[in-house]
Amino acid sequence: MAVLELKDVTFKYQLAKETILENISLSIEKGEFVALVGRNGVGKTTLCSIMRGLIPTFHTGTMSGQVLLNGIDISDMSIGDLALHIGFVFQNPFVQVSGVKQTVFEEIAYGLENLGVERSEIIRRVDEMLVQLNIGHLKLKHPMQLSGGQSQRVALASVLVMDPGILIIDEPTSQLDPQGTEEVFETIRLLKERKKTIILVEHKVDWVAEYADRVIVINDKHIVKDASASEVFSDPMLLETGNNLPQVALLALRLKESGKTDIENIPTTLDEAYQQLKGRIDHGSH
Amino acid sequence: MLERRKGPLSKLYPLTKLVFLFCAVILAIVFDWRFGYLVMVPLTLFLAAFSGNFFSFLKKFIGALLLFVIFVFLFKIMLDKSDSQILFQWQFIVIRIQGLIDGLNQTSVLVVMAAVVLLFFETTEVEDLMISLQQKKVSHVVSYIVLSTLQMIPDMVKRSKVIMQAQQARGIETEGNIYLRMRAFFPSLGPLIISSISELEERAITLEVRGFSASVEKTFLKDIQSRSIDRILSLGFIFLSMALIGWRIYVWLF
Repeated sequence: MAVLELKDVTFKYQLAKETILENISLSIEKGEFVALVGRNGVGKTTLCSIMRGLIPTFHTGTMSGQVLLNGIDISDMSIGDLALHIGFVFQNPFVQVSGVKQTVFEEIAYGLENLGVERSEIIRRVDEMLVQLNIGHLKLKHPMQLSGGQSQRVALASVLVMDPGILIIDEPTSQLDPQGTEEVFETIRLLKERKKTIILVEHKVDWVAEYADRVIVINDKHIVKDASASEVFSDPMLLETGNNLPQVALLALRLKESGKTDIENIPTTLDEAYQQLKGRIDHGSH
Repeated sequence: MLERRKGPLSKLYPLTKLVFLFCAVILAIVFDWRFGYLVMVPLTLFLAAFSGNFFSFLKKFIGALLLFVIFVFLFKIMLDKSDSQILFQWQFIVIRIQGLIDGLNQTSVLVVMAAVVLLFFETTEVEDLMISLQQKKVSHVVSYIVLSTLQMIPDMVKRSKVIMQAQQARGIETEGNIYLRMRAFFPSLGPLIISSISELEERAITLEVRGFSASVEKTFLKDIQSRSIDRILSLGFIFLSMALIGWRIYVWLF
């Protein structure tokens, strides 16, 4: 059974002239890692807010359709209780600070205090999260005095520590350097191993291609493609929607177009490209 | 967890200090200037020193009250036309003992209030106070509003500085005489208020995402407990205050 399901969802912001999303239907299974891609302003964050129940409660507008969490319409659930099931990491980490905590350690612990977790368990889980996201050195710093990258990791830690079954993560690496990005994706990989359901908005398609099970492409208010990561990222049509393809896929497509290779399966990850190249080199050398 | 305030008074349960604060203010209302100036001011100074916050406390105390107290004293002294003993006379300035006593009486409650409130915040984390109130079943929404409001003030001061710097970067003169400063200050109010309102909405969403209104009983990372000494002190303050008020009423009546 789907853990999260959207049925024919349409939404228009209160002061907008047009709808931002129309007739969106999708179903996400437990333990699935789904990536949402699309150019800026296409409605990815709006879709995340709808799935988390923040729309239409906080961002008002006209919404039709249904969002079901484990078969229950989320409009019948309290928005506070949804935090027990769905975690949401915002695009802008600076607004994800509670504003009442004096240290990063306390900030990460705040969600657990709200969920009524025992003190000793809070300390254990926060310590674990500090190590996992490599932010132990920040634990006594004030949450408002962090750099963009540091804030982004703290925001991610603050939600991950609550251990919800479903995680919606909106561009968690936008302010991170390559090493930080790798660490975040490594954390997401660990979450996937723990059978968490992950919905990720991310523009860094090379990383998405490596990790995601499924990619949903949004364009012009609709879902235009919903398939496996390798299928989506090997399709040059994606470029026409203002999105990018992984570097290895672009290279392979360019070689194919120029007639330099008869490659059939466009690789979308470094590993796939390596295997194909290795096979050809091995084949050529014999 | 991180201990930000040190000293013996910071180890007391916040509500114990709150009881002391209320008792002191009530007694200052009931008694005359001698209680405020001769008992409470020296006592709060002593407690601040005992807690290792003497200079910080003194600086805030003087900063908060000096101008006000001087103004009230001047006002009272100038207006006093009683025939009480003259303490000092120079040209048209005449300081009589009655004017001085009126000044002391007028300022006594405020001085005590400022002294105990400043001492309270000098030795108490606001968050600790909120936790202790929640332990006494005060709504977590109320405690969040109080806590975030108190912490929002320094954030707004910081943001206003950033806005002023942005104005400067665009060539607007923000330094100089009072007229120039005022001209730079008012246009910065708009962005400051709008950004603060927009932050409020984002803050509300953040809180929901962090389970603020989840229907479970909250727990606290900080281990704040009322100990025996707190209960003894609280009861002591209450009984002492009641005894002093009773004595005061007795003196009034008989």
